[in-house]
Amino acid sequence: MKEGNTHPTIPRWKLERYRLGELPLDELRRIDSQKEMDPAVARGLQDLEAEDAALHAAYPTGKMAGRIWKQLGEGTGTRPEGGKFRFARLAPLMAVLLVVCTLPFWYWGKRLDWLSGSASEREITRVKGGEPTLFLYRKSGRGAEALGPDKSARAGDLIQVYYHAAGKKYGAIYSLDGTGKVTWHLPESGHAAVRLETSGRVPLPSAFELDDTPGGEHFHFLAADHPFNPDSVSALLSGESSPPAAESRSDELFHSVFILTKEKLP
Amino acid sequence: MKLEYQEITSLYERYGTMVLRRCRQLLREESLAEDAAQNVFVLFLRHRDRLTVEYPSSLLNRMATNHCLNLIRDARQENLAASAWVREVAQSQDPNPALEARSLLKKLFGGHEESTRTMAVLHLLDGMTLEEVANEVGMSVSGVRKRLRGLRQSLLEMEAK
Repeated sequence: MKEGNTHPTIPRWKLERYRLGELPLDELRRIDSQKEMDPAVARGLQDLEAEDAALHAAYPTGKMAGRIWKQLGEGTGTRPEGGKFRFARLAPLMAVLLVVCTLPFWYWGKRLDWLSGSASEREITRVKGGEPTLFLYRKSGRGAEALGPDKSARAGDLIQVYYHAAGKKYGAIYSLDGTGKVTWHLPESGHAAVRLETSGRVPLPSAFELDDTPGGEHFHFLAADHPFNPDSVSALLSGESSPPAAESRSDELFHSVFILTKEKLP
Repeated sequence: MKLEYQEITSLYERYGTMVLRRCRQLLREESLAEDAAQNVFVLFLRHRDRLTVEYPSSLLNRMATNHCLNLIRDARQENLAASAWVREVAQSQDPNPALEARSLLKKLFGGHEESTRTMAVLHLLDGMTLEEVANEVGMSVSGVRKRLRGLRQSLLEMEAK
């Protein structure tokens, strides 16, 4: 008997890993193209996204992480005061915020005060039906390998960035290196958000070679349903400017961060 | 290495739904699944320094599978909503008793062979081909086939008793 394998051509476990970007690159590409041709594949992905959203709502990160932390035993590390994030702790630019978080403009009354909101508040603002996400790969002898929390890169690696817009129409991508230098990847100028391909895993036009700047590299993906000025958003994130005008606060801007860790040079 | 709270939120944010999905799928009981998912992350984080996996999703999925099978095996049957065949697999004797006796962590992190029961779930429930199971657990296809055949035999013997 087989249960939980609802899609006839691509099993669910594979779609799940496709969404996480944790499949070999050739497999990812195959599903990318299959998704365009086979509505059942796209539907399978949509179903997963919807289920993820429901599961996140039922089992919020704040609640579950707190329980895990408690079970691991206090004193094994540091937890932000009161179990809440504080910007000061995230100052090395969200070095600890490895995954996707959402930044609704509504919360920007004070500089990133949303970070000190309760976990449940943050969960309410979660993305409906999936989140804009970045995926990074490095070229290796046998093709390309996905980078992630447990897979660091080193100076000289050729890195290809992919984005998944999750339906968002406009976006921008920039990175911040260990010295605080900002590099715009999409668009290269950084003066206007560009139209995104709203579905699929989309590669940026070119790969780049990782330099030897010490420290990790933080890739920021900003995405929204409306045009926005990424310059002002990145300035806001770094605390260099005021919050956006009140009239824009009803819109949501999604912000995900991919932390690329670098191996130290010998 | 010192654990930061944000490591937990990051890990859960990324893989939480996948682990929950697996636990709910096997245990079919919300509160059990919630506790099981939590335990899987605790186990993963406790040993994170030794992890050398290419894709954490693969390891977490197998850890969740194995953990749930252990819960099913150890639970009183009438208290469990798991499907009959999953219960049978969970209760089955691993064809390799020495292997079964090893700790999960040793198997997962020490490069030892995977539990045959977990392989059976990957193959029968997830629909992985033998080759995909082999890739997943780092064994040869023939090795996986042999192990699954042994498990099948074990299940048949259980039924005959």
